[in-house]
Amino acid sequence: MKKLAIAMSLAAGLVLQPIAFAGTASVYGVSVSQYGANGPVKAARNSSNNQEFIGCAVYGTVPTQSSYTTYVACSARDASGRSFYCATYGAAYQLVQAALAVSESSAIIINADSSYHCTYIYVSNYSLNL
Amino acid sequence: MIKVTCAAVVALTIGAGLGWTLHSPDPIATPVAAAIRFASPTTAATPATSGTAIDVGLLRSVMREELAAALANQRNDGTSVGSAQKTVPPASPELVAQRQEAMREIESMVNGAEWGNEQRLGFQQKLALLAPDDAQRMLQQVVTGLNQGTIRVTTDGPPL
Repeated sequence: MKKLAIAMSLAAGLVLQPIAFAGTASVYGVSVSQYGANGPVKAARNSSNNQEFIGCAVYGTVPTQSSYTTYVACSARDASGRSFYCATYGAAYQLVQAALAVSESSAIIINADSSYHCTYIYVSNYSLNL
Repeated sequence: MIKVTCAAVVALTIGAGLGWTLHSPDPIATPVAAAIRFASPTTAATPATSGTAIDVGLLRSVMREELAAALANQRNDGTSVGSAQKTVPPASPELVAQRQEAMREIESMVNGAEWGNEQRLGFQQKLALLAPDDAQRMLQQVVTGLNQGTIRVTTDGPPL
């Protein structure tokens, strides 16, 4: 009788587990085109395939060996393995700020020009991306 | 007793005169100077209505305006954060040699047609040595090669 109660409690816990994470959640993954990509960071990380990722990096140096330099680089890969990369050297303040805003709660839209310079980085941080 | 009274009257007169002098408007009519008046510690936080305290509201608004103007200038002049061009002295012979070596290594990575973790790390480190124009050019070559598939990505994660 005791064992049955424990088993039923465990089963109920498992059934109710999704409720603990209730709330609107992003359901789409990473999408890649010729000169752009978009998608949520966490959904990419938690995707069942081992392909998807999306994110941005910011690089900076102090003028000990060269002049002040920085670049912003963004990368993405969709579920099918298609990739997109862009990088902008000496990036504008606004682009750097956008890249730095990326976190696990981010959904990102990245666009590039025909030379693959990142020209647009949109970062939205919402609970549904978690 | 009379001496004490006289001394008190003289001290009072001097004090009143000094007080009036300090109370008078600042001849230097800058916004910040106008916002700041001498004040006793007990009245420093009081909004100025009599001119004997710091006009906190005015001071704040002046500072806000100055900061906003400075930020607007910084953000709207089209310059990048990274290109806050500090005057860099001419490259020493050692630095020139380092740059040439770094350039060779990066070109070798690009021509090697495979971009793994080692290349990724090496590229980031060598890039810092290059002159800005060269760095920009090499970054462009790498990102173009990655997108066009002439450089095969074998990194565990993003190649840049």
